[in-house]
Amino acid sequence: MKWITGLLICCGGVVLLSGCQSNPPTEPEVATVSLTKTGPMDAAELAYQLSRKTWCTNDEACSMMLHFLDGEDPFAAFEERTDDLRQRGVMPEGWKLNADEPVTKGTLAYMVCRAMEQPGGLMMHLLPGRRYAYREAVELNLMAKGSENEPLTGPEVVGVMGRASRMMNQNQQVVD
Amino acid sequence: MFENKKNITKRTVWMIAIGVCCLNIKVAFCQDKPQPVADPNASAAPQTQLEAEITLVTGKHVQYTLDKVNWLPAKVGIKLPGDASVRTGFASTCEISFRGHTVVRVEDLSSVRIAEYLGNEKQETVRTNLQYGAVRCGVEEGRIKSDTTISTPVALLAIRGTVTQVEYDRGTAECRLGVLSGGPADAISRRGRYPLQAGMNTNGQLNRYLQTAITERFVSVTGNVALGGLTPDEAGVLAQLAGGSLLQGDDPTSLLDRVRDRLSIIRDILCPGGECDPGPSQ
Repeated sequence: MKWITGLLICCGGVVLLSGCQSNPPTEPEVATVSLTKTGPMDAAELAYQLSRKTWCTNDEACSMMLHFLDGEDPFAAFEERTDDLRQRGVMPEGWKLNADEPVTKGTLAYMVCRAMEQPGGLMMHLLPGRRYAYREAVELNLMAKGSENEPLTGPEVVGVMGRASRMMNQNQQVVD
Repeated sequence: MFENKKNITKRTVWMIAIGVCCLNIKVAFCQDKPQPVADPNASAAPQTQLEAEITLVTGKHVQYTLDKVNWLPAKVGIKLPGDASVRTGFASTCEISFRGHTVVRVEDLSSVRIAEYLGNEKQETVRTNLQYGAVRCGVEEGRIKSDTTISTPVALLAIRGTVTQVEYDRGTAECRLGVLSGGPADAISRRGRYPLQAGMNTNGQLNRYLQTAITERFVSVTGNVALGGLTPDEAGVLAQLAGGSLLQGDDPTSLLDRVRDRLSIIRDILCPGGECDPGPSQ
């Protein structure tokens, strides 16, 4: 009788310990683009991967910018990419970006405007930063209206960079 | 007397019965036999699967795939069957020729899939899907009957004898349709050299026009524009997007009609009158 009582107590304890807790909701796995694991990735492949991805990280956006400027991204680490972009003046010195955070509209707009050497308006000269760079990008029809702090999805980044590239080509064509 | 009347009645009934039987037999035999329905395309040869060809590659980042898995560097002369895809990077473009009757130029940072390419001596059918980015497409008019379409998830563009540009942004689901005209390209015919305009028969100069033409005006298409699938709310939004004024108390049916009118204007811009002027050609 005793061992039956003990067994019942043990079972009760197990049930109590397990409690009403259900399995925690698992977040949907977001595919990430590995920029370094499989060696250097060219722009066509990076754009293709980004177009199938939910969010675009700062690391991927910087890699896209390097492809936009040079046609290649020879760097393996995020810090190397940001250092190179800072030296070119595409990224200001004061920015502290995390590699895995989604890139914001303002961040990408600033880098694109600098890379395209867009003069911008008076406010962009007086207060250079994300805010007025984003307004310039909206004015150029590169981005949709919204806030400079909104994160960008992978397909949106591909769309913005593609339009910027085609705009550069068309301007060059007119000059020629 | 009474018996005679009875016989007459009997004979009359028999005669009527025989008459009805004869009529039935006549109807049965004289009925027109169903003639086989003549197929208007029966005389035309069936369309077979064809292969497109890469005719121009610029830049370093142009790749193609035949199995959606392995991407290989694209080169001039590579044949692309149905279900093949081409993607490009920055400062890279690729021209795909469909026997010279249709030329698709894949612009920077774009991906295009050839969904179907069928044809025979007299006609051809080209179905391409723009996954993201932009393409310029030129379709020659005159030599054969071309049925070329570029589809995106939000819009389908059918091109006949003209040159257009399609941009699709997967992020915002916006599709922009551009009409190219005034390009500084010339064509050469027996009459001499003449400037190319949209819709002209180009006689092999199509690719040059695609390279040099400048986009003149864009038409934006966003969301569901399949007319059959438009709800009154969508119609209202589309009317606003297209520049129409949405007034309180507007009848949804009239809104839908207004949207239809605007879409017909867009269609007229893309291909005036439904048939483009072939222009001077030999």
